[in-house]
Amino acid sequence: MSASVPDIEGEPARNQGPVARARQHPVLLVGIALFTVIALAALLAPVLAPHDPYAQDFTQRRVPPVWYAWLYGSPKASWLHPLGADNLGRDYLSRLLYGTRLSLLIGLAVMTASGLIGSTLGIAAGYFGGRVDLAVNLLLTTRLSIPLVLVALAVVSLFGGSIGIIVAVLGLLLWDRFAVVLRSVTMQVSRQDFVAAARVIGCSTPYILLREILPNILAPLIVVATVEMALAVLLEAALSFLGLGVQPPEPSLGLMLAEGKNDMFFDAWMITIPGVVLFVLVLAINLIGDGIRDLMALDRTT
Amino acid sequence: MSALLEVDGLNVRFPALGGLHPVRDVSFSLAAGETLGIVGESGCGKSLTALALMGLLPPGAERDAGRLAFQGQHLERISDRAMADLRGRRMAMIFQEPMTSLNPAYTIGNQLAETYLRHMRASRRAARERSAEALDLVGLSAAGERLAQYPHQLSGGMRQRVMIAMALICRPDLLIADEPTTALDVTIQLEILHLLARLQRELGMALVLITHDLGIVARVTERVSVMYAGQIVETGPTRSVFDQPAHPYTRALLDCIPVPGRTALGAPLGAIPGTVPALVGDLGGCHFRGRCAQAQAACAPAPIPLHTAEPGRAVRCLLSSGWKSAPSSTALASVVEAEPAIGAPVLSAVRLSCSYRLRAGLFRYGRTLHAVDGVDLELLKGEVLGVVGESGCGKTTLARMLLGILPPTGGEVRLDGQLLDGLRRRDVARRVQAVFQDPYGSLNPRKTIGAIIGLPLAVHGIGDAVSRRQRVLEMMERVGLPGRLAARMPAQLSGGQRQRVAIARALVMQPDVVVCDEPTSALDVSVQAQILNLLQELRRVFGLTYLLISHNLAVVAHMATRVAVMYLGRVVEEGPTADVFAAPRHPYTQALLASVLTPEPGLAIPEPRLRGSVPEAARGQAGCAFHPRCPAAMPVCRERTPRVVADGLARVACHLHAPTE
Repeated sequence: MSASVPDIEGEPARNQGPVARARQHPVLLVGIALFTVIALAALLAPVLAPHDPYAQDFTQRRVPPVWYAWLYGSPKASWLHPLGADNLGRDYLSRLLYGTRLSLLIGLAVMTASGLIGSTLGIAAGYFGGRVDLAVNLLLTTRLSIPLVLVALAVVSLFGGSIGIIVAVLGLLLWDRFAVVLRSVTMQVSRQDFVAAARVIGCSTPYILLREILPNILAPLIVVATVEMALAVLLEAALSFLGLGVQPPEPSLGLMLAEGKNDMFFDAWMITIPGVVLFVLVLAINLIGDGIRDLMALDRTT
Repeated sequence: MSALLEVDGLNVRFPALGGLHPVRDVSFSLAAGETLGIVGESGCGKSLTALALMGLLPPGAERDAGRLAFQGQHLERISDRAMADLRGRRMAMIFQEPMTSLNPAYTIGNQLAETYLRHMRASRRAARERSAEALDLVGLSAAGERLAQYPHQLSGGMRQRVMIAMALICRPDLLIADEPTTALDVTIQLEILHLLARLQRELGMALVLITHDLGIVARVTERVSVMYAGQIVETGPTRSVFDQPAHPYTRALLDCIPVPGRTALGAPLGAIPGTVPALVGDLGGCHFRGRCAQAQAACAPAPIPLHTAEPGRAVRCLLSSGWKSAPSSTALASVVEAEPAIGAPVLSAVRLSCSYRLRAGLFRYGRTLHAVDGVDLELLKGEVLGVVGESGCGKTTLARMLLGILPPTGGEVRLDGQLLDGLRRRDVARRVQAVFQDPYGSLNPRKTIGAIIGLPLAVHGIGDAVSRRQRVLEMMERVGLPGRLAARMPAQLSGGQRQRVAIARALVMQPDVVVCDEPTSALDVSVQAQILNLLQELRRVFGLTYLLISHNLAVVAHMATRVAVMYLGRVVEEGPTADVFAAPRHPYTQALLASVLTPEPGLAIPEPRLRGSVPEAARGQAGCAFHPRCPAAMPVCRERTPRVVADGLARVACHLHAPTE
């Protein structure tokens, strides 16, 4: 037949790979770009930092960032401290790099810990149902009845504010959303016939959970993970701001905000700079989460 | 005869969806009081045609027509307001899904009165009276009290009656019914069709009945239009279209459907190869040519006009003039291979039960729901055992227990005489496999076709990667899938292709028994015929034993060598298919068989024999579960549960057939 004959089989075009589709998704690209810059800066902090973040130099107290020299003709501002120095004369750029590093580390660790707890509970509840579901629901309601910040404050004030304690407390408190979301999506997915088919074929339960169900619930898992990571970064900042998180002289974004707040009417840059970094970091994580959710959506056009 | 509705050159396009053009040059007219059937497979544009007439097209759709006139009014020129007034008052529509077409937050009476007050100047009180009248008209008892009920208090059949009452409350001149019975059980379908036919006669309104079911069209309508790929390909009086189909598509469609008593048991059906083309852009020439056995070079280039062959009949085919009597079946060489010999029982159920405890509330006692209630059934090697029954009769639960993926709460399943419980899951998997109903849900959407078919081999560690791949490709060829699809994802395949994938996965380990749970109920008739033919062929090639579960009696009659009829978790009758279909013993089997609508125009819609719908509360109580609906119920039916007794070749559980004591 002639070339104008339509394809009777009606086969749609081959799916584009995830990389090709990511290229057409500007939100995701912006998120990835921002996150990459911040993550690289944090990773390379020892190389990039111009000074020792702990070194105090009282001759350099409250030196403003370099652009104060250009804008206001400040005599103290110079390239020696590009982002200025805090009230103890510590280099602000170096502290910012190390602080971001700590915030990211805590965010990732908390996300991993709470993600493991929450998704294990959620998937088990959704797949097995019955008594397992009841038990998970009991745990979940118990957890939800605990006021998050209050408990975090209490535990940190009792056991001190080491990074390990913060990660442990936040990890044990932030798993609820993982459990709720994964329970319901697992329930939906495991009701489908392909799970029954896998059982008929003779697949073991771990195989079904990991290979049949997990790929189908990965999208909501990643979205929740990014939301929780952003939340963990903010919570760490909040705890540090209240003096119960990362302890001085360790730098963290929250602690820098806390230390800068006394001077905020005179040297507003002291809280603006860590505030902007925190804002951009959380924004980048959320943009990545949104983008991945869109990318992993299945084409249900046929 | 002045036309009530005139449609000339109706087109529906979706410019935003890449030039999707699902309704193409549709023309027909309808006289007052006439019944017209529009029949076609899914995606042929029949529902969009109806929505275009009603002015209810989804956003993004564009409608244009040479002429679209209703009672002399030009619908394409009147305002939205005037159209809204027309809709519901002069023309009404009922939809397929009775479960979701009523608002669950309002009472029936509220929704009926709302429709009436929307169009008529009347008091609330008058509207209420008219609502009760309308419910009375559609045969709902105690209409006055029903008005205060909410949709969830009614069964599916009753809801569809309410939908019809709502459509008719303003006494429209035209009723469009879009698949009004597709979501209902066959016995309920019969009642609704009866009702529609009676109301159409009594109220003298015109009826457009849209359906994929040729049997319904044949029995209900006077004229029929067959749609394919957005066009009407044939139109004419129902009787003459069914007796002498002029378009190859109409003929092929009629050959696709198994008709009990007409198509030979196990003989191949006249399947239409391929699938409907995507309705994008200009398809040029005849839309059916790619699947047509008679296609010629002339079919391709120019659009084919709808030309009148004889008065009242029109066909969109170049061949129709000279082409009259091709062989009735689309010439599938019927190489009937040897039937597998029937042997010993492979899979057997002994007093098999499954019951669920419904959760007790604070002020409620927990009830027990017997999904399957003491079923004895044997599946003999080499046979095809059909299990039929209406929705909720427990046939799927039975299948899952036989597959060993749902633990029974009572009784046992034996595979070759060994308890299924005692066998390892993997050993059972090598012998018994399954094909499920939903070809969309039964394939993991994140895996490639090749990985899905090869999964059983990988899980059981059969062969290495290379030999597995070889075996997968062989299997794909066997079930009629081109090997290049192995790298595709399930979402890229059509429904029929996916069901072929599911069959390939079930057969790749060469099992003895395949449990097919409604393998074709989600498919169009032409694709259903392909799949049924494939199942028959594979059975002969591999010597398979099938357990075929279906609500479609015609499919079971065509495929099964033996049939078991289930009602409320029990087998009420069982025997050789020919025997059971020729002389059904149980009143339920009789009613079920009587509700099969074969595509034979001229035959009336059979009188419904059963009252009411399947009751849920009757489960597990004493006496025959069927007695509340049984036309032949006796006092003893309420007291004692009938035992299953042999009667000739069959076994039946009914007091009418109990041996006299």
